[in-house]
Amino acid sequence: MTPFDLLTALETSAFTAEIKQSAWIYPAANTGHVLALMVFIAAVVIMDLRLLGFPAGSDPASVVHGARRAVIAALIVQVATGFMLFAPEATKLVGNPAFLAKLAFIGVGAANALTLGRLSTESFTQGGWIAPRLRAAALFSLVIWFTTAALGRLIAYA
Amino acid sequence: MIRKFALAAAFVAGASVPLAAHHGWSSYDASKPQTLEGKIATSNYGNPHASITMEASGKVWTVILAPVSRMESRGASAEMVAVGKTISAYGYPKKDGEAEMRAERITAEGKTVELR
Repeated sequence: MTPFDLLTALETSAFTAEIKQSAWIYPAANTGHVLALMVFIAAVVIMDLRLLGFPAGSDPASVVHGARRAVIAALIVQVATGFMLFAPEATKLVGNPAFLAKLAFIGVGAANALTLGRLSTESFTQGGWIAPRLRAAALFSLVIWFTTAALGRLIAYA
Repeated sequence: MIRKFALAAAFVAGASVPLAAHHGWSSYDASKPQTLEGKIATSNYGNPHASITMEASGKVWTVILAPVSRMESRGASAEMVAVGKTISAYGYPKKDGEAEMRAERITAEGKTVELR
């Protein structure tokens, strides 16, 4: 079984047939994907701006840890709804440049977030001073996630 | 601090400018509307949008319809676009010459449904 056979199997499965035929599942998944994106981006922006030094009076550790929960919750909803949007067009989407670019950006964004998490833990234990490396990773994170969101919208036009 | 914030905002705005995109609508030629009439060969009543294929003017056309929820609410049932039914589709052909139409409306058995 090749990976493409797997996608074909997904596309023709009973699970996918339900998504395709239902009048509400696909629109609900689509709307849920966008709403979860809003929560995700809001929390990412809060986290990254704090690492970039804004607002200056707040405690970086508590801001980052609070926002991280929202990021993870939103990400779970995004992966679940994203999979439902992917399934009916699986074999087409793997040839869509915007979709492939989006996956790549998600991979880079996730790797950056893991690095950022490790660096920020080190940084916070050293008295809350935010290292230039960490600031750079926060700025990079903003660029990555906004680009990922834009690429997601562009899948329909690529 | 505000300067940093502005810098970050500018960077983000720059990064989110769309890459060279071709819009879903713009790949169809709205200046050349046409009507296809024929028998439905295959029918896919599914999301993200329903579609049918039909033979008309010597070609096998793919006709893009609407999402299932809109099809249902406008009265275009699966039965209306079932295989074997005779249908008339008014819409725009693809600019690249491919036999694909984005249908504005369809008519079957005297009933017309607007899809946009």
